[in-house]
Amino acid sequence: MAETVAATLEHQRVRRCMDGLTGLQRESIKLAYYGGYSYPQVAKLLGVALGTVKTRIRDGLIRIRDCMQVTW
Amino acid sequence: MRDDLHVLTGSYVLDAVSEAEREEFERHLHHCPTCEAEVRGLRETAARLALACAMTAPARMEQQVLAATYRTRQLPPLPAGRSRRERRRVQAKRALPRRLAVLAAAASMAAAVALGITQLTAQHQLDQARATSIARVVTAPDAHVETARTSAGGSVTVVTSAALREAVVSTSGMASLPSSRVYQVWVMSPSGARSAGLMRGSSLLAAARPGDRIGITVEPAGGTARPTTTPVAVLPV
Repeated sequence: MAETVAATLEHQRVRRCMDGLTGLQRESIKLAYYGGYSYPQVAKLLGVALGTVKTRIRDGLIRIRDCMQVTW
Repeated sequence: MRDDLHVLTGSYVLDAVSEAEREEFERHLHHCPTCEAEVRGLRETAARLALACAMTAPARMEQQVLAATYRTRQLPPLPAGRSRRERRRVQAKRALPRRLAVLAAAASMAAAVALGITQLTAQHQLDQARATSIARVVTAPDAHVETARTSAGGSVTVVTSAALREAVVSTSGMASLPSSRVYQVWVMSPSGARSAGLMRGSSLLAAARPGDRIGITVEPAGGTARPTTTPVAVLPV
């Protein structure tokens, strides 16, 4: 029960953190994670360089991580 | 070479790399503690993204997730007389809450531990009752969420149900206090500031209604009758 409660609060938190990303960071992560695309495929879909996608995915995830204060 | 590989941490945890790249990167991880540490944190982050995907559902679906988790409610029988395609579509929607529940349970274990809402204490019964009350507010159809950063670092989230006249106050990442100090939660209304209790763990239930405000202050251990310091956060209910 507490897990579902935590999940609902968590959902709000993730949504808010995703909103803090740039459009390119968010789209890169959505395509890579939810869409299941490889980063070269993401680069082709978004029309940007390979290095750009790698950086956006990493920067976006780091931003979400910091926003949600994962401390490892 | 190391710089090139370091930038792959994000794509690696999202499984967006080729098989060959994955193997190469894992070999790299063996002798790059920086990357290894970053991968651990980003992996936890990615696990929580799974939750956002699963829970993009209307309030009614959230109710079904709750029911699926507890197996306390029978789903109504499939409507008779519909076309086979219609029934399949309805069945697909039925199947979804179970998948959501599994995803939510799996991904939220980390969240539950991170938020401190777990039952790893001796007062299990009390926690269960409190967890039920919290669940009722958070999944109420009129649940309203406010979030703010605090001046003690971290953030506070308040989920309120006007119908229930209750709010769940949840904090994350706030600075640890010395044992002589404690975070105290207040409900502020036109008639003054009323203590809602001390912030033990990371969530608290408070009687509150729209128009009230929630404030958090740092007080001496044991709490006070009235706030004595400037709030680290104030947010509307």
